[in-house]
Amino acid sequence: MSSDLGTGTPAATTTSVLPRRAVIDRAWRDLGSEVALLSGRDGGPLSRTVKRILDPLVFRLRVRSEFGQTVVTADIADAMRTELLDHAAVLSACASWFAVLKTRRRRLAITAGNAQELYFPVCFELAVTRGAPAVDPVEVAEVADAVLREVHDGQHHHAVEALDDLMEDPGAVAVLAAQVEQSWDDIRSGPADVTGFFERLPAVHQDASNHQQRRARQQVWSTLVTDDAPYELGVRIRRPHGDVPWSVGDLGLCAQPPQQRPSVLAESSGRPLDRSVVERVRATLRRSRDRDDLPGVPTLCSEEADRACAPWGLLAEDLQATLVNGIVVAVQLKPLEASAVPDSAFVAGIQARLRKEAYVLHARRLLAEDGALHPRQRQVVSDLADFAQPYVRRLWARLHGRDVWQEPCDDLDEVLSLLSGVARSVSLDHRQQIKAMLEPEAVA
Amino acid sequence: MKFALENGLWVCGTPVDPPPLVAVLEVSGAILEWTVDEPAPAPRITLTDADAADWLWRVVGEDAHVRLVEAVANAVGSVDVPIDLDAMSPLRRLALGHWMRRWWPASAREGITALPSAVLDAELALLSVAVEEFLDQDAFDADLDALLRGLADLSEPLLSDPRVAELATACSELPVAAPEPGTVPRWRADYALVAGSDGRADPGVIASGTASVSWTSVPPGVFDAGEDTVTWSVGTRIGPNGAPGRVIGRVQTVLADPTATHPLAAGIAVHLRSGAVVGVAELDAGGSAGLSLDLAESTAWNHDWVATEVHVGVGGGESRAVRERVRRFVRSRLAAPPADAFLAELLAAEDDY
Repeated sequence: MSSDLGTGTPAATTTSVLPRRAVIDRAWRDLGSEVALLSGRDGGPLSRTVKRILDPLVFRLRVRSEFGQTVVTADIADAMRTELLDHAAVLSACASWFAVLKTRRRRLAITAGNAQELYFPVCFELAVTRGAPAVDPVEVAEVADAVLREVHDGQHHHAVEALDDLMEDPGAVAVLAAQVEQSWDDIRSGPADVTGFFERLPAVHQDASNHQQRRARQQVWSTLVTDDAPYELGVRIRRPHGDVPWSVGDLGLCAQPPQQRPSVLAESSGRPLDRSVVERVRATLRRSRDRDDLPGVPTLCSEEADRACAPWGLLAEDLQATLVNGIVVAVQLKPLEASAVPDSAFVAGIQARLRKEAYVLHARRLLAEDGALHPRQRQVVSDLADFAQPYVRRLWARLHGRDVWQEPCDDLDEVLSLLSGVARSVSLDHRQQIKAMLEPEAVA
Repeated sequence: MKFALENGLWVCGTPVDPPPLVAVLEVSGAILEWTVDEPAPAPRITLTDADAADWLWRVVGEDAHVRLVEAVANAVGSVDVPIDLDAMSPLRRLALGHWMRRWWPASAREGITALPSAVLDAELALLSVAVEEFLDQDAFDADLDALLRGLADLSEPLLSDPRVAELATACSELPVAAPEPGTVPRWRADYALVAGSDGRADPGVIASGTASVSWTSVPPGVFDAGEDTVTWSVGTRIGPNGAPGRVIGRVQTVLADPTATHPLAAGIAVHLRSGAVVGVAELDAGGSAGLSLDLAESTAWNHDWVATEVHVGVGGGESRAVRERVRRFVRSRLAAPPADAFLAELLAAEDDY
């Protein structure tokens, strides 16, 4: 291994940096047996404890990304340890609440979903708001049952009801319709160097093996996210013969290109750019189960009317650029083709992973070497071969969420990890379907 | 062992044999592979996402984990890592169990008893929970519900075995949704001890022979995994009212459960090739197919059928020698179960009279 990794601190790196999960594991053991229900056999935290409780609620990675790095410095490790131990009482109460919820779940004969996945965050919330479960078992059972009911039936019940009410108000719908009409007309073609954008884009997909290269790559992305080209491309897809390198129909963004002005209420094809305002708001409500900082439904609808009319259905220009970036990646991904040669290290890396995942299916006797193992799988396998469509649809949904929450995509590392994460989740989805096709349920 | 970039992915360890000889396990951010019948306990490791592989320090140590993460981030160099084989051994066992679910060569002809699949699945569910810190909870190999599905319908004789009962109790403690008995759709492929049909010579047969099913060409659990289970014949069918006869091929396979049809047998392709003569058809749910061959009767009689090849399923398939190797492997385990044998294997071995 080369001794100089170009990280700026060549000699010290291996001694002062630690794997994140090792740091968490060590600190966790100091919490003792009170958190046993949240721990694995070896005394470390369960993976779900890390994902559902520690990362989002104790370390709060959303605001403190330094706690989320794969390897952390000794200073950060100390800070994480302090943070974790500061939560000792809450975590112990959280574990007690989980015991209560598990018991009540059995009593109420609830079998849906994975108990850890579903209840860990609410147990933490109960621990923060109520402390440890009270002594009175009747009171505790009442609280637990109410929480279980909410988790299993009532998610965002009120918001969905408010949306239904609003959509039955002709006045409100008319206002939104007028807003859509106006916003749609406001989006106009302008001067933009589309060719230049595509020429500069591959630079952000190159490997960066040191700080300087990473900084250079980030600089390119910083200019691309403010470039007019993604906006302009988003305008061109509204014209019958707009000059774009791909068809939004082939990408699965519209059922029938060109993109049409969205409606407020109508049920659409379900393709991202065809969706009506109300369909988009419903999707937002569905996706925001864990969040309570959502604006009111009328505000959401009004924002969504503007967003639906914005180029690519996204208001933020960095998100528009990220979508275009993702499309350039997507059209090169071919999980079932050994001969596909992507144009950059980044895309080649994703392609290599997809190939490897297809190989796992072959090794598990779920696929032949490069295609369906059984005629039942033909449809799913052809969807897998046609990777760009589901990829772009899923990426769009993620970006839509980011647009609603105003989460930027200006950090290139984050963008690249988003783009590979989407490939992974599309592949997972396909693999589950391929597997299901060989199971008895598929026959019934 | 040395991690290095290979075709865009970080890989360590020696290459493994292709399916059906490889046991794979998908862990968080990596794929582990072992050749099933080789004693080497260190897997080939392919990193698919170094950031997600937050368990690496458990097997290579914290120092090597950090060096590896840095090398991956910088996309250069190679990294020597020590591998803790003890930490790897439950993962190898889990990979092998998953392999058995899909490739166990149950065959009445070969005298290899099928594994009780619900028992094996339940064992894998428990083992998965035991190594949960390695698994990606959203991924393929962490789907405990699928593994526990069969438990609800365990047969009475099996449940009366205290080892199985203990297993079922342990699984009932797992934090997953357990299905109700009788609600789980299943097809049975557990009866490999019933004799298969043999190819009878029909009148009007011009030529006949046997072939074998390649395991990598067909889904698991459908066919008897023995050799020479495919019988084929070419013959004539007399046309109505003395019209000239048509030449047809018949192919009969032996299903895993020869007393029943199998829904997945239906639709599987059959190719017959003999020199210039080719025929293609699909099996029915009973595992048989008729192929119409575009051939005059007299030509058929004069044709040399010695080199006829019949292939069931897709792709080229593995060789007979590879299948023999797999059989040797499982027979040796059944004959002398290793210390970490699965209960499912022990039950199959005890059943093997």
